[in-house]
Amino acid sequence: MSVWWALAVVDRAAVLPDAGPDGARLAAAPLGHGLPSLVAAELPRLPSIDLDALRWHDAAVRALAAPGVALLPARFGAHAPDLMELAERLRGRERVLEDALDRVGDALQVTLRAGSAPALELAPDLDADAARGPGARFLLRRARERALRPPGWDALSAPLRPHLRAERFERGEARVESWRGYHLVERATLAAYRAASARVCEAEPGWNLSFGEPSPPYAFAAEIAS
Amino acid sequence: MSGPEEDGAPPGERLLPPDTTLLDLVDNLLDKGLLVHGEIVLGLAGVDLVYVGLSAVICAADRLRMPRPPGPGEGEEPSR
Repeated sequence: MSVWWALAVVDRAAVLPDAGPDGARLAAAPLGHGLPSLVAAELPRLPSIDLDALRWHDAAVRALAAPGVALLPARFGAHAPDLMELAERLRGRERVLEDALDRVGDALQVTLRAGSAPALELAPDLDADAARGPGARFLLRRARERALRPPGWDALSAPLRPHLRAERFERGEARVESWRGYHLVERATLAAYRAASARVCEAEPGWNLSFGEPSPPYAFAAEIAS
Repeated sequence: MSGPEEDGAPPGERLLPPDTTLLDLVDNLLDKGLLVHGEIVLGLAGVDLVYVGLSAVICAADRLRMPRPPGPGEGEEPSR
């Protein structure tokens, strides 16, 4: 029995390719009249979960991410026997998805990794926080963790700023990196961003910064609450 | 579907996968992306796996190698 494999949510104006990698049939299920659509591929069976499956999913999402398409990539693994059943799982999030699509339209993600940079900084607790209850303090701290930044980053990253629509950082995997960041870069200024990123790397050679290849905005789709 | 050579799109305007590193692939696909309810369980060889468990195994397989306890004579200063 075939399965429908979720690939992405796209804006209403997106034009789909006829087929995905390996000729998989693609179809879009609108979440409502004039609303975004969930795009999925029909597969003859559930794929084996291996590196090839990851590469296939990535290639399928990249093929959808043509210029002019606003796209939120789906996390690997969502599937259902029926396309409409898959789309149904997004009910109630239509407006949030529309807002998110507006944010990522005509922009790409670039992942930057710092091999040996100083740790990310957490904004200090405010005195006013102490008077709040434990729940409020937890939420405030979590909000600050989302605003983690490398020390001195604002000055260092000034050449990148004109090309950025959004930015976020995470603590890294200790054996691989100090931290990693995600930039949402305007597609039209990607070349200028590349040139600016080289200057940032040169400015802090000890941080061992590396900027990856552009990808669909996975990190910025993850911000949408489930 | 046409490729970049066929549609004439300038480099950088289309997203081609060949330079995607395994690190970015795993980070993006298993740890990021839009959550669609229902992806929690995946099948592998007819056995359901908990998704979080699967991603943990793929992301950090090296951690599965537990440190070997020092054998006799290992981890000690050599006697003089």
